[in-house]
Amino acid sequence: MNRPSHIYPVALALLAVLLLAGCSGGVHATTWTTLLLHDGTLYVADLEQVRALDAETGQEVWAFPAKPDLSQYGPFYTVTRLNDELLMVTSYESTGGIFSARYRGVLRALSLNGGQLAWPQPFIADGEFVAPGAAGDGIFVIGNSNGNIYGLRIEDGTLVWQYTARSRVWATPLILSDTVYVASLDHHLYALDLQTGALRWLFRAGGAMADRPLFLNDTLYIGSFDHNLYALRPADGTEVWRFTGANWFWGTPAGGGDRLYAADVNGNVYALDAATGQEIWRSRVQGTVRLGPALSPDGKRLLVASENGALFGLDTADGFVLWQQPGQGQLGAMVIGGEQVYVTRINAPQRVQAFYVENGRPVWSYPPQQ
Amino acid sequence: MWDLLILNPMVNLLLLFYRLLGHQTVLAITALTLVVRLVTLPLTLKQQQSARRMQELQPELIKLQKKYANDKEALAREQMKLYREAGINPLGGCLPLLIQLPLLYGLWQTIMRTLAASPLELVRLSQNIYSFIPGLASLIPLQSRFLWMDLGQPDPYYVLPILVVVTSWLSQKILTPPSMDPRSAAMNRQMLIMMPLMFGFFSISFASGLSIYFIISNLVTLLQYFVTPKPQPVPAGAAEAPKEPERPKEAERPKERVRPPRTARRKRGRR
Repeated sequence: MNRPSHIYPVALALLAVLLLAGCSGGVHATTWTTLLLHDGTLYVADLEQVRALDAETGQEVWAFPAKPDLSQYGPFYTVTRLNDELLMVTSYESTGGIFSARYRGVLRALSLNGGQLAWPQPFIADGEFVAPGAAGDGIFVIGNSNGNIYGLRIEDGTLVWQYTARSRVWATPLILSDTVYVASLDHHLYALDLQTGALRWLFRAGGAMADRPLFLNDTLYIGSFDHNLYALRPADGTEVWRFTGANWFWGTPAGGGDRLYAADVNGNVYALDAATGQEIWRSRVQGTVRLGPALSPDGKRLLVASENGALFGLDTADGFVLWQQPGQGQLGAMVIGGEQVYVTRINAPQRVQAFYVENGRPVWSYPPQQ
Repeated sequence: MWDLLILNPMVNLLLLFYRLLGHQTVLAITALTLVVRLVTLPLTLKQQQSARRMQELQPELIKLQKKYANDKEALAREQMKLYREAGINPLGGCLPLLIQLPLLYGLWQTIMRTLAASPLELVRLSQNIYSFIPGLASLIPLQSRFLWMDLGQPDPYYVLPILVVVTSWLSQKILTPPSMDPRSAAMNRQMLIMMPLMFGFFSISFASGLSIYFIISNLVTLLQYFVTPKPQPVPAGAAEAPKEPERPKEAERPKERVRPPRTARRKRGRR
């Protein structure tokens, strides 16, 4: 009669293990998902699958793999367009059993038209590929959580060069001509030779840098966790000016004409003079802002996404919040195409959504809302 | 409220330790663990003493269980009487544990968040750092390389998980005195196996920095056990028990019989 009481500690221990290990089903995302827009099609790394969606309607064109199979592929986090035929997708896959704890970053090239595997073998590396890479002049460049920056040949995925930073690389590289600029959490922005990976110069900020620099008016602009936004000369990394915000600058600033727009993680949105760093206006949105703002093609609207899932439309003239669209789950990426803005979400039933830039009205969702 | 009262102070304290201890994450985790253990020391001592006293009452409790096997009400009444007479609260061991749990959970969360192995964790950390302490934000991310490990990732060679299991087992073993009640003894045996395995599983699954915390915490428990004085056993019914009779004075004591030397005994035997 007393025996069943002995199983209570065992049951409690197992329950605790399950709860704390997060074995509650579904994909346990470690980072955000991204998307890109090309020729009327959205390509989305949507955890279980990479999907091509019609940008007008949200209809699925193809998916890789055809059926979700997390034991073999994924979760998928990023997509990069390599050229007019190929797409690069990254995933973070376990190479062992439940007790192995050995996860590796995997790069696969897929055809843009149909999503078939294009390389004979995937490129596998220790460490997670957090951000999309960049492609230029036959080379694909991407950094990972182990601090490695890889230069791969686009046509077959062979490694051309490798550069190791002192800490994690969570930023998408920026390729300008024959130089690739990569920011690292080790407080450095590296300028590397695109073909060889040789270091040209490095710039040290006061804090980590987690996203790609913006190139505007022959200047690089990049935010740092030291609360500063830096303007640098691309040729040698010389600092032109710096602007100090209220907290970390994580996302890439947006820019148009002579203006620069940036948001810190406290939700402060700044409009600055791109040439001098002088503040023009300052606005505020609710929530933590990690993603860089996006500027509409006409330059009239600035879209800001917060980690609580809300999307805000600001007037670029004065920073007034014209509309806000609440949403579920964290926003992963935001791309403006014409009159619409497309976003990805994690931890939400609707993974991809389209809204009108002008007023924030929803256009479609994927998967479609019931 | 949780962040304000527990998480933020701990995160910032960890970052301060990190800065003071030469950007050594393991040392910072160790220092923070020691501080939290020091803060909770009065509670853990009370908990240990309560557990020990409960254990000393086991024989009496078993007697009561046998005596009132068919009368649960009487058993409960007599048990409470026994606890009252011994001057202990049967829940006295739980309360300190309950008070400590938020702090220990906060410590766990602090380590996971500051190591921030994933971007999602790092972005949350941005809201935990005090902006009025200059330079803390620049410490992010913490130096995560330690020996062969990335402290933000599980140990690939399972050295830390094994150490976690061994130290958890040892601390569990010394904190669980032998029980005379077969049911409690069986439960203790189960816990002695399950708890270390559970911590070992966490160690395999989560950041190595958390394993460092487990190991330091277990070592502190062991150290605490061996250096703190053991409480004197309180006999059941001590409150009403008559005082021990005083030892008679030297002059009144009967003289001890002096044993004759061996040679004399032999001689007596021969006679």
